[in-house]
Amino acid sequence: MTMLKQEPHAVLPSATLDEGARQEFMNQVGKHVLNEITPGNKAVYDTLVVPAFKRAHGRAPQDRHEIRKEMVRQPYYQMTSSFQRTIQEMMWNSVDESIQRQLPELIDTAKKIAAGPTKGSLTLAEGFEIPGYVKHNDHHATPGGYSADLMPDDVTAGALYDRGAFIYTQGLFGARMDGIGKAAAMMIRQTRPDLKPKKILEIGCTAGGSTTGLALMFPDAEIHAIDVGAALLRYAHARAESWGVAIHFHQMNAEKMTFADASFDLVCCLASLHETSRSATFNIFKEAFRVLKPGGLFLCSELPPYKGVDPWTQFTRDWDTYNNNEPFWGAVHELDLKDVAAEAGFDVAKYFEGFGPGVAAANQLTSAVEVENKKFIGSTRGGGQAWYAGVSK
Amino acid sequence: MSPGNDTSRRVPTPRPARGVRPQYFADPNMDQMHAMILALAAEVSVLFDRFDAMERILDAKGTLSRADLESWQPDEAAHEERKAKRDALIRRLFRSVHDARAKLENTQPGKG
Repeated sequence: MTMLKQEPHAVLPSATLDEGARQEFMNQVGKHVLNEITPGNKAVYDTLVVPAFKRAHGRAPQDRHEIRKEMVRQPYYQMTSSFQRTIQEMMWNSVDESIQRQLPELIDTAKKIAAGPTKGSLTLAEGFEIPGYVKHNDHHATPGGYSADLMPDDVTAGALYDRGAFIYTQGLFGARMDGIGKAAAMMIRQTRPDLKPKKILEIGCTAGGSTTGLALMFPDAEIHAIDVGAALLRYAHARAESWGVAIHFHQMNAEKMTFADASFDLVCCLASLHETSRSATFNIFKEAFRVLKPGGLFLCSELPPYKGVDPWTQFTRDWDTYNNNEPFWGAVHELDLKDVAAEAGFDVAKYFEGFGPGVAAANQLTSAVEVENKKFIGSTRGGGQAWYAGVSK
Repeated sequence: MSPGNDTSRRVPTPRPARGVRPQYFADPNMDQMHAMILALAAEVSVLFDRFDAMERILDAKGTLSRADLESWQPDEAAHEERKAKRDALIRRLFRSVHDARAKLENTQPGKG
Protein backbone atom coordinates (compact mmCIF):
# COMPACT_ATOMS: atom_id res chain seq x y z
CA MET A 1 0.00 0.00 0.00
CA THR A 2 1.25 3.43 -0.82
CA MET A 3 1.55 6.27 1.62
CA LEU A 4 -1.69 7.93 2.62
CA LYS A 5 -1.56 11.53 1.44
CA GLN A 6 -4.34 14.02 1.79
CA GLU A 7 -4.45 16.63 -0.96
CA PRO A 8 -3.02 19.88 0.44
CA HIS A 9 -5.07 23.06 0.74
CA ALA A 10 -4.46 26.36 2.51
CA VAL A 11 -5.86 25.34 5.91
CA LEU A 12 -4.88 21.66 6.03
CA PRO A 13 -2.96 21.18 9.30
CA SER A 14 0.62 19.99 8.92
CA ALA A 15 2.27 17.53 11.30
CA THR A 16 5.68 17.63 12.96
CA LEU A 17 7.85 14.51 12.86
CA ASP A 18 6.46 13.24 16.18
CA GLU A 19 2.86 14.27 15.48
CA GLY A 20 2.98 12.42 12.17
CA ALA A 21 4.49 9.36 13.85
CA ARG A 22 1.79 9.40 16.53
CA GLN A 23 -0.96 9.66 13.90
CA GLU A 24 0.59 6.80 11.91
CA PHE A 25 0.64 4.64 15.04
CA MET A 26 -3.00 5.39 15.85
CA ASN A 27 -3.99 4.51 12.29
CA GLN A 28 -2.05 1.25 12.37
CA VAL A 29 -2.99 0.11 15.87
CA GLY A 30 -6.66 0.90 15.17
CA LYS A 31 -6.58 -1.22 12.04
CA HIS A 32 -4.83 -4.05 13.89
CA VAL A 33 -7.39 -4.14 16.70
CA LEU A 34 -10.30 -3.99 14.28
CA ASN A 35 -9.04 -6.65 11.89
CA GLU A 36 -7.05 -8.98 14.11
CA ILE A 37 -8.43 -8.69 17.64
CA THR A 38 -12.15 -7.82 17.56
CA PRO A 39 -13.02 -10.81 15.28
CA GLY A 40 -12.24 -13.04 18.30
CA ASN A 41 -15.57 -11.91 19.75
CA LYS A 42 -17.39 -14.25 17.38
CA ALA A 43 -15.71 -17.22 19.08
CA VAL A 44 -16.64 -15.76 22.48
CA TYR A 45 -20.24 -15.59 21.31
CA ASP A 46 -20.37 -19.05 19.73
CA THR A 47 -18.46 -20.98 22.37
CA LEU A 48 -19.36 -19.17 25.59
CA VAL A 49 -22.44 -16.96 25.22
CA VAL A 50 -24.77 -19.03 23.05
CA PRO A 51 -24.41 -22.34 24.98
CA ALA A 52 -24.91 -20.58 28.35
CA PHE A 53 -27.89 -18.62 27.01
CA LYS A 54 -29.47 -21.80 25.64
CA ARG A 55 -29.06 -23.52 29.00
CA ALA A 56 -30.77 -20.61 30.74
CA HIS A 57 -33.51 -19.78 28.20
CA GLY A 58 -33.88 -22.84 25.98
CA ARG A 59 -33.02 -20.80 22.88
CA ALA A 60 -30.27 -18.65 21.37
CA PRO A 61 -30.31 -14.84 21.79
CA GLN A 62 -32.79 -13.51 19.25
CA ASP A 63 -31.79 -9.89 18.73
CA ARG A 64 -28.82 -7.56 19.06
CA HIS A 65 -30.05 -6.25 22.42
CA GLU A 66 -30.00 -9.71 24.00
CA ILE A 67 -26.57 -10.36 22.48
CA ARG A 68 -25.23 -7.09 23.80
CA LYS A 69 -26.49 -7.74 27.33
CA GLU A 70 -24.44 -10.94 27.43
CA MET A 71 -21.38 -9.72 25.53
CA VAL A 72 -20.70 -6.70 27.77
CA ARG A 73 -20.08 -9.20 30.58
CA GLN A 74 -17.43 -11.09 28.59
CA PRO A 75 -13.81 -10.16 29.45
CA TYR A 76 -12.63 -10.45 25.83
CA TYR A 77 -15.38 -8.12 24.60
CA GLN A 78 -14.72 -5.67 27.42
CA MET A 79 -11.07 -5.61 26.40
CA THR A 80 -11.64 -5.16 22.66
CA SER A 81 -14.21 -2.41 23.22
CA SER A 82 -11.91 -0.65 25.65
CA PHE A 83 -9.09 -0.82 23.06
CA GLN A 84 -11.33 0.51 20.30
CA ARG A 85 -12.73 3.38 22.36
CA THR A 86 -9.32 4.33 23.76
CA ILE A 87 -7.68 4.26 20.33
CA GLN A 88 -10.48 6.42 18.95
CA GLU A 89 -9.86 8.99 21.70
CA MET A 90 -6.11 8.89 21.20
CA MET A 91 -6.47 9.26 17.43
CA TRP A 92 -8.54 12.44 17.81
CA ASN A 93 -6.16 13.76 20.47
CA SER A 94 -3.16 13.13 18.20
CA VAL A 95 -4.78 15.32 15.54
CA ASP A 96 -6.12 17.95 17.94
CA GLU A 97 -2.72 18.42 19.58
CA SER A 98 -1.23 19.10 16.17
CA ILE A 99 -4.04 21.52 15.26
CA GLN A 100 -3.82 23.48 18.50
CA ARG A 101 -0.07 24.00 17.94
CA GLN A 102 -0.74 25.75 14.63
CA LEU A 103 -4.23 27.11 15.31
CA PRO A 104 -3.28 30.82 15.25
CA GLU A 105 -1.80 30.38 11.76
CA LEU A 106 -4.79 28.35 10.55
CA ILE A 107 -7.21 30.99 11.85
CA ASP A 108 -5.25 33.82 10.22
CA THR A 109 -5.13 31.98 6.89
CA ALA A 110 -8.89 31.29 6.96
CA LYS A 111 -9.60 34.96 7.82
CA LYS A 112 -7.42 36.18 5.00
CA ILE A 113 -9.16 33.89 2.50
CA ALA A 114 -12.64 34.88 3.73
CA ALA A 115 -11.72 38.58 3.35
CA GLY A 116 -11.68 37.93 -0.38
CA PRO A 117 -11.81 37.94 -3.24
CA THR A 118 -13.90 34.75 -3.03
CA LYS A 119 -15.90 32.64 -5.46
CA GLY A 120 -18.31 31.32 -2.86
CA SER A 121 -19.41 32.81 0.46
CA LEU A 122 -19.68 32.25 4.20
CA THR A 123 -22.77 33.35 6.13
CA LEU A 124 -22.71 32.84 9.89
CA ALA A 125 -25.86 33.45 11.94
CA GLU A 126 -25.73 35.90 14.85
CA GLY A 127 -26.84 34.25 18.12
CA PHE A 128 -27.32 30.89 16.39
CA GLU A 129 -28.82 28.21 18.61
CA ILE A 130 -27.00 24.87 18.30
CA PRO A 131 -29.43 21.88 18.24
CA GLY A 132 -29.31 19.76 21.41
CA TYR A 133 -28.17 16.60 19.63
CA VAL A 134 -24.84 18.19 18.74
CA LYS A 135 -24.58 20.66 21.61
CA HIS A 136 -24.38 18.04 24.35
CA ASN A 137 -22.78 15.15 22.51
CA ASP A 138 -19.54 14.91 20.56
CA HIS A 139 -20.22 12.37 17.81
CA HIS A 140 -17.60 9.71 17.14
CA ALA A 141 -15.91 10.90 20.35
CA THR A 142 -14.39 13.88 18.54
CA PRO A 143 -13.42 16.47 21.18
CA GLY A 144 -15.75 19.43 20.67
CA GLY A 145 -17.71 17.52 18.03
CA TYR A 146 -19.40 19.45 15.25
CA SER A 147 -20.33 22.49 17.28
CA ALA A 148 -17.49 23.68 19.52
CA ASP A 149 -16.43 27.25 18.71
CA LEU A 150 -13.41 27.64 20.94
CA MET A 151 -12.41 31.26 20.28
CA PRO A 152 -13.00 34.13 17.86
CA ASP A 153 -12.70 32.93 14.25
CA ASP A 154 -11.99 29.34 15.39
CA VAL A 155 -11.52 26.67 12.70
CA THR A 156 -10.66 23.73 14.98
CA ALA A 157 -13.81 21.65 14.40
CA GLY A 158 -13.31 21.70 10.64
CA ALA A 159 -9.60 20.94 10.79
CA LEU A 160 -10.18 18.13 13.28
CA TYR A 161 -12.86 16.55 11.13
CA ASP A 162 -10.95 16.94 7.85
CA ARG A 163 -7.70 15.50 9.17
CA GLY A 164 -9.12 13.10 11.78
CA ALA A 165 -11.68 11.53 9.46
CA PHE A 166 -8.97 11.03 6.84
CA ILE A 167 -6.82 9.12 9.33
CA TYR A 168 -9.77 7.34 10.97
CA THR A 169 -11.06 6.04 7.64
CA GLN A 170 -7.53 5.43 6.36
CA GLY A 171 -8.13 7.62 3.35
CA LEU A 172 -11.36 5.86 2.37
CA PHE A 173 -13.05 9.11 1.29
CA GLY A 174 -10.23 9.98 -1.10
CA ALA A 175 -7.35 12.45 -1.13
CA ARG A 176 -9.79 15.38 -1.31
CA MET A 177 -12.21 13.80 1.19
CA ASP A 178 -14.87 14.20 -1.49
CA GLY A 179 -15.74 10.55 -2.21
CA ILE A 180 -19.14 10.64 -0.52
CA GLY A 181 -20.22 13.60 -2.65
CA LYS A 182 -18.91 12.07 -5.86
CA ALA A 183 -20.60 8.74 -5.08
CA ALA A 184 -23.88 10.57 -4.47
CA ALA A 185 -23.51 12.30 -7.84
CA MET A 186 -23.08 8.90 -9.50
CA MET A 187 -26.22 7.67 -7.74
CA ILE A 188 -28.13 10.70 -9.01
CA ARG A 189 -26.96 10.08 -12.59
CA GLN A 190 -28.16 6.48 -12.30
CA THR A 191 -31.54 7.12 -10.72
CA ARG A 192 -32.49 10.50 -12.21
CA PRO A 193 -30.53 10.82 -15.47
CA ASP A 194 -32.98 13.56 -16.52
CA LEU A 195 -32.07 15.79 -13.58
CA LYS A 196 -29.73 18.64 -14.49
CA PRO A 197 -29.61 20.54 -11.20
CA LYS A 198 -29.00 24.28 -11.42
CA LYS A 199 -29.14 24.85 -7.69
CA ILE A 200 -27.94 22.28 -5.13
CA LEU A 201 -28.10 22.21 -1.33
CA GLU A 202 -26.11 19.92 0.94
CA ILE A 203 -27.44 19.52 4.47
CA GLY A 204 -24.82 18.70 7.12
CA CYS A 205 -21.70 19.49 5.11
CA THR A 206 -19.19 19.34 8.05
CA ALA A 207 -15.77 20.36 6.66
CA GLY A 208 -17.17 20.54 3.12
CA GLY A 209 -15.50 17.39 1.75
CA SER A 210 -18.61 15.88 0.19
CA THR A 211 -19.70 19.35 -0.97
CA THR A 212 -16.54 19.79 -3.05
CA GLY A 213 -17.33 16.36 -4.53
CA LEU A 214 -20.79 17.57 -5.58
CA ALA A 215 -19.25 20.76 -6.99
CA LEU A 216 -16.81 18.71 -9.06
CA MET A 217 -19.57 16.52 -10.48
CA PHE A 218 -22.05 19.37 -11.11
CA PRO A 219 -19.71 22.12 -12.33
CA ASP A 220 -22.50 24.31 -13.72
CA ALA A 221 -24.66 24.31 -10.59
CA GLU A 222 -24.83 26.93 -7.85
CA ILE A 223 -23.92 25.05 -4.68
CA HIS A 224 -25.07 25.82 -1.14
CA ALA A 225 -24.15 23.93 2.02
CA ILE A 226 -25.35 24.21 5.58
CA ASP A 227 -24.18 23.01 8.97
CA VAL A 228 -24.52 24.17 12.55
CA GLY A 229 -20.95 24.76 13.69
CA ALA A 230 -19.27 28.10 12.89
CA ALA A 231 -15.78 26.61 13.24
CA LEU A 232 -16.70 23.86 10.77
CA LEU A 233 -18.01 26.34 8.23
CA ARG A 234 -15.11 28.81 8.43
CA TYR A 235 -12.76 25.93 7.71
CA ALA A 236 -14.96 24.43 4.98
CA HIS A 237 -15.18 27.79 3.22
CA ALA A 238 -11.42 28.48 3.38
CA ARG A 239 -10.72 24.95 2.18
CA ALA A 240 -13.04 25.19 -0.83
CA GLU A 241 -11.81 28.68 -1.75
CA SER A 242 -8.18 27.61 -1.63
CA TRP A 243 -9.01 25.07 -4.35
CA GLY A 244 -11.00 27.67 -6.26
CA VAL A 245 -14.30 25.87 -5.69
CA ALA A 246 -17.38 28.12 -5.43
CA ILE A 247 -19.61 27.03 -2.55
CA HIS A 248 -21.96 29.14 -0.45
CA PHE A 249 -21.74 28.01 3.17
CA HIS A 250 -24.47 28.96 5.66
CA GLN A 251 -24.77 28.39 9.39
CA MET A 252 -28.30 27.05 9.51
CA ASN A 253 -30.43 24.49 11.32
CA ALA A 254 -31.68 21.92 8.78
CA GLU A 255 -34.91 21.62 10.78
CA LYS A 256 -35.82 25.26 10.11
CA MET A 257 -33.97 26.59 7.11
CA THR A 258 -34.25 30.20 5.99
CA PHE A 259 -34.24 29.40 2.25
CA ALA A 260 -37.40 30.26 0.35
CA ASP A 261 -39.82 27.53 -0.75
CA ALA A 262 -38.91 25.77 -4.02
CA SER A 263 -35.31 27.03 -4.09
CA PHE A 264 -33.36 23.92 -5.09
CA ASP A 265 -33.35 21.23 -7.79
CA LEU A 266 -31.36 18.86 -5.60
CA VAL A 267 -31.04 18.53 -1.83
CA CYS A 268 -28.52 16.05 -0.41
CA CYS A 269 -28.05 14.82 3.13
CA LEU A 270 -25.01 12.57 2.99
CA ALA A 271 -24.15 10.33 5.93
CA SER A 272 -25.54 12.96 8.29
CA LEU A 273 -29.00 11.83 9.45
CA HIS A 274 -27.50 9.43 11.99
CA GLU A 275 -25.81 12.41 13.68
CA THR A 276 -29.19 14.06 14.40
CA SER A 277 -32.24 12.60 16.15
CA ARG A 278 -35.54 10.94 15.34
CA SER A 279 -37.59 14.13 15.52
CA ALA A 280 -34.87 16.04 13.61
CA THR A 281 -34.99 13.45 10.80
CA PHE A 282 -38.75 14.05 10.36
CA ASN A 283 -38.21 17.82 10.40
CA ILE A 284 -35.31 17.63 7.92
CA PHE A 285 -37.46 15.69 5.43
CA LYS A 286 -40.25 18.29 5.81
CA GLU A 287 -37.80 21.11 5.19
CA ALA A 288 -36.22 19.31 2.23
CA PHE A 289 -39.70 18.96 0.72
CA ARG A 290 -40.39 22.65 1.25
CA VAL A 291 -37.16 24.00 -0.28
CA LEU A 292 -37.24 21.60 -3.27
CA LYS A 293 -38.64 22.71 -6.59
CA PRO A 294 -41.31 20.46 -8.11
CA GLY A 295 -39.46 17.66 -9.91
CA GLY A 296 -36.45 18.10 -7.65
CA LEU A 297 -34.72 15.28 -5.80
CA PHE A 298 -33.93 14.73 -2.12
CA LEU A 299 -31.12 12.18 -1.75
CA CYS A 300 -29.81 10.79 1.53
CA SER A 301 -26.96 8.38 1.97
CA GLU A 302 -27.21 6.62 5.26
CA LEU A 303 -26.23 3.53 7.19
CA PRO A 304 -28.10 0.58 5.68
CA PRO A 305 -31.15 -0.64 7.65
CA TYR A 306 -30.81 -3.55 10.07
CA LYS A 307 -33.85 -5.35 8.69
CA GLY A 308 -32.89 -8.66 7.09
CA VAL A 309 -29.46 -8.63 8.75
CA ASP A 310 -28.63 -11.46 11.19
CA PRO A 311 -28.60 -10.48 14.90
CA TRP A 312 -24.84 -11.01 15.37
CA THR A 313 -23.97 -8.69 12.47
CA GLN A 314 -26.50 -6.17 13.77
CA PHE A 315 -24.79 -6.33 17.15
CA THR A 316 -21.32 -5.71 15.68
CA ARG A 317 -22.61 -2.83 13.53
CA ASP A 318 -24.33 -1.34 16.55
CA TRP A 319 -21.03 -0.89 18.46
CA ASP A 320 -20.97 2.85 17.75
CA THR A 321 -24.33 3.44 19.40
CA TYR A 322 -22.96 2.54 22.81
CA ASN A 323 -19.23 3.12 22.43
CA ASN A 324 -18.62 5.96 20.00
CA ASN A 325 -21.04 8.69 21.14
CA GLU A 326 -23.55 7.88 18.39
CA PRO A 327 -26.86 7.77 20.31
CA PHE A 328 -29.01 7.83 17.13
CA TRP A 329 -26.92 5.24 15.24
CA GLY A 330 -28.98 2.17 16.15
CA ALA A 331 -32.33 3.95 15.88
CA VAL A 332 -31.74 5.37 12.39
CA HIS A 333 -31.06 1.82 11.17
CA GLU A 334 -34.60 0.93 12.25
CA LEU A 335 -36.34 3.99 10.88
CA ASP A 336 -38.28 3.48 7.65
CA LEU A 337 -37.34 6.56 5.65
CA LYS A 338 -40.22 5.85 3.26
CA ASP A 339 -42.62 6.61 6.11
CA VAL A 340 -40.63 9.70 7.00
CA ALA A 341 -40.79 10.89 3.38
CA ALA A 342 -44.56 10.27 3.27
CA GLU A 343 -45.13 12.26 6.43
CA ALA A 344 -43.07 15.14 4.99
CA GLY A 345 -45.46 15.37 2.02
CA PHE A 346 -43.52 13.43 -0.61
CA ASP A 347 -45.31 11.01 -2.95
CA VAL A 348 -44.04 7.56 -1.87
CA ALA A 349 -44.49 6.29 -5.43
CA LYS A 350 -41.41 8.41 -6.18
CA TYR A 351 -39.40 6.97 -3.27
CA PHE A 352 -36.51 4.55 -3.77
CA GLU A 353 -33.93 3.00 -1.48
CA GLY A 354 -31.08 0.55 -1.76
CA PHE A 355 -27.38 0.13 -2.38
CA GLY A 356 -25.60 2.26 -4.93
CA PRO A 357 -22.17 3.60 -5.83
CA GLY A 358 -19.76 3.90 -2.92
CA VAL A 359 -16.58 5.82 -2.32
CA ALA A 360 -14.32 3.12 -3.80
CA ALA A 361 -15.71 3.71 -7.30
CA ALA A 362 -16.12 7.44 -6.72
CA ASN A 363 -12.50 7.94 -5.67
CA GLN A 364 -11.38 7.07 -9.18
CA LEU A 365 -13.37 9.95 -10.67
CA THR A 366 -11.59 13.20 -11.32
CA SER A 367 -14.17 15.08 -13.36
CA ALA A 368 -17.85 15.29 -14.23
CA VAL A 369 -17.09 14.21 -17.80
CA GLU A 370 -16.16 10.72 -16.61
CA VAL A 371 -19.58 10.29 -15.03
CA GLU A 372 -21.25 11.17 -18.30
CA ASN A 373 -19.14 8.70 -20.23
CA LYS A 374 -19.40 5.66 -18.03
CA LYS A 375 -22.13 3.45 -16.77
CA PHE A 376 -21.40 3.03 -13.10
CA ILE A 377 -22.28 0.09 -10.96
CA GLY A 378 -21.01 0.08 -7.40
CA SER A 379 -18.72 -2.82 -6.55
CA THR A 380 -20.17 -5.32 -4.14
CA ARG A 381 -17.67 -5.46 -1.31
CA GLY A 382 -15.96 -3.33 1.33
CA GLY A 383 -16.37 0.41 0.96
CA GLY A 384 -17.67 -0.32 -2.53
CA GLN A 385 -21.32 0.37 -1.91
CA ALA A 386 -23.26 2.98 -0.07
CA TRP A 387 -26.90 2.85 0.95
CA TYR A 388 -29.24 5.52 -0.37
CA ALA A 389 -32.77 6.72 0.14
CA GLY A 390 -34.12 9.18 -2.38
CA VAL A 391 -37.42 10.77 -3.24
CA SER A 392 -38.48 13.17 -5.98
CA LYS A 393 -40.94 15.98 -5.43
CA MET B 1 6.91 25.49 13.60
CA SER B 2 7.26 25.68 17.38
CA PRO B 3 4.43 26.52 19.76
CA GLY B 4 4.18 30.24 20.33
CA ASN B 5 3.35 31.90 23.64
CA ASP B 6 -0.08 33.08 22.59
CA THR B 7 -2.14 30.65 24.68
CA SER B 8 -5.30 32.73 24.12
CA ARG B 9 -5.37 31.43 20.55
CA ARG B 10 -5.18 27.71 21.29
CA VAL B 11 -6.82 25.46 23.86
CA PRO B 12 -5.02 22.97 26.11
CA THR B 13 -4.86 19.36 24.90
CA PRO B 14 -5.88 16.60 25.32
CA ARG B 15 -9.55 17.56 25.55
CA PRO B 16 -12.32 15.12 26.50
CA ALA B 17 -15.30 14.48 24.19
CA ARG B 18 -18.73 15.51 25.48
CA GLY B 19 -21.19 12.66 25.95
CA VAL B 20 -21.15 9.30 27.70
CA ARG B 21 -17.80 7.51 28.04
CA PRO B 22 -18.59 3.83 28.79
CA GLN B 23 -16.90 2.00 31.64
CA TYR B 24 -15.76 -1.35 30.29
CA PHE B 25 -14.42 -3.15 33.35
CA ALA B 26 -15.85 -3.83 36.80
CA ASP B 27 -12.94 -1.91 38.27
CA PRO B 28 -12.75 1.56 36.66
CA ASN B 29 -9.02 1.61 37.36
CA MET B 30 -8.68 -1.13 34.77
CA ASP B 31 -10.15 1.27 32.18
CA GLN B 32 -7.50 3.79 33.23
CA MET B 33 -4.74 1.17 32.95
CA HIS B 34 -5.81 0.32 29.39
CA ALA B 35 -5.66 3.96 28.38
CA MET B 36 -2.26 4.44 29.95
CA ILE B 37 -0.75 1.30 28.42
CA LEU B 38 -1.90 2.27 24.93
CA ALA B 39 -0.61 5.81 25.43
CA LEU B 40 2.78 4.41 26.45
CA ALA B 41 2.85 2.12 23.43
CA ALA B 42 2.12 5.10 21.17
CA GLU B 43 4.98 7.08 22.66
CA VAL B 44 7.39 4.13 22.25
CA SER B 45 6.37 3.94 18.60
CA VAL B 46 6.95 7.68 18.19
CA LEU B 47 10.42 7.28 19.73
CA PHE B 48 11.27 4.37 17.41
CA ASP B 49 10.23 6.46 14.42
CA ARG B 50 12.37 9.37 15.64
CA PHE B 51 15.44 7.13 16.12
CA ASP B 52 14.83 5.69 12.68
CA ALA B 53 14.73 9.15 11.13
CA MET B 54 17.98 10.13 12.92
CA GLU B 55 19.74 7.00 11.72
CA ARG B 56 18.64 7.56 8.16
CA ILE B 57 19.82 11.18 8.17
CA LEU B 58 23.16 10.15 9.72
CA ASP B 59 23.58 7.39 7.13
CA ALA B 60 22.96 9.87 4.34
CA LYS B 61 24.81 12.94 5.65
CA GLY B 62 27.05 11.81 8.51
CA THR B 63 25.74 14.69 10.56
CA LEU B 64 22.44 15.66 12.13
CA SER B 65 20.66 18.92 12.91
CA ARG B 66 17.31 19.47 14.58
CA ALA B 67 16.12 21.28 11.45
CA ASP B 68 17.05 18.28 9.26
CA LEU B 69 15.21 16.01 11.63
CA GLU B 70 12.02 18.07 11.85
CA SER B 71 11.74 18.47 8.11
CA TRP B 72 12.60 14.85 7.29
CA GLN B 73 9.98 12.89 5.32
CA PRO B 74 10.18 9.17 4.57
CA ASP B 75 10.25 8.07 0.95
CA GLU B 76 8.05 5.17 -0.11
CA ALA B 77 10.62 2.50 0.84
CA ALA B 78 11.37 4.04 4.23
CA HIS B 79 7.64 4.42 4.85
CA GLU B 80 7.09 0.70 4.25
CA GLU B 81 10.03 -0.30 6.46
CA ARG B 82 8.79 1.91 9.30
CA LYS B 83 5.30 0.53 8.90
CA ALA B 84 6.58 -3.05 9.16
CA LYS B 85 8.56 -2.18 12.31
CA ARG B 86 5.47 -0.55 13.82
CA ASP B 87 3.46 -3.63 12.99
CA ALA B 88 6.03 -5.82 14.76
CA LEU B 89 5.79 -3.57 17.83
CA ILE B 90 1.99 -3.82 17.78
CA ARG B 91 2.18 -7.62 17.54
CA ARG B 92 4.53 -7.76 20.53
CA LEU B 93 2.20 -5.43 22.44
CA PHE B 94 -0.83 -7.65 21.82
CA ARG B 95 0.94 -11.05 22.06
CA SER B 96 -1.16 -12.25 25.01
CA VAL B 97 -4.36 -11.05 23.34
CA HIS B 98 -3.61 -13.05 20.20
CA ASP B 99 -2.94 -16.09 22.39
CA ALA B 100 -6.33 -15.58 24.04
CA ARG B 101 -8.06 -15.29 20.67
CA ALA B 102 -6.38 -18.46 19.36
CA LYS B 103 -7.45 -20.33 22.50
CA LEU B 104 -11.05 -19.15 22.14
CA GLU B 105 -11.17 -20.14 18.49
CA ASN B 106 -9.93 -23.63 19.33
CA THR B 107 -12.53 -24.15 22.03
CA GLN B 108 -15.52 -26.39 21.40
CA PRO B 109 -18.87 -24.64 22.00
CA GLY B 110 -19.93 -24.90 25.64
CA LYS B 111 -16.52 -26.12 26.84
CA GLY B 112 -14.88 -22.72 27.38
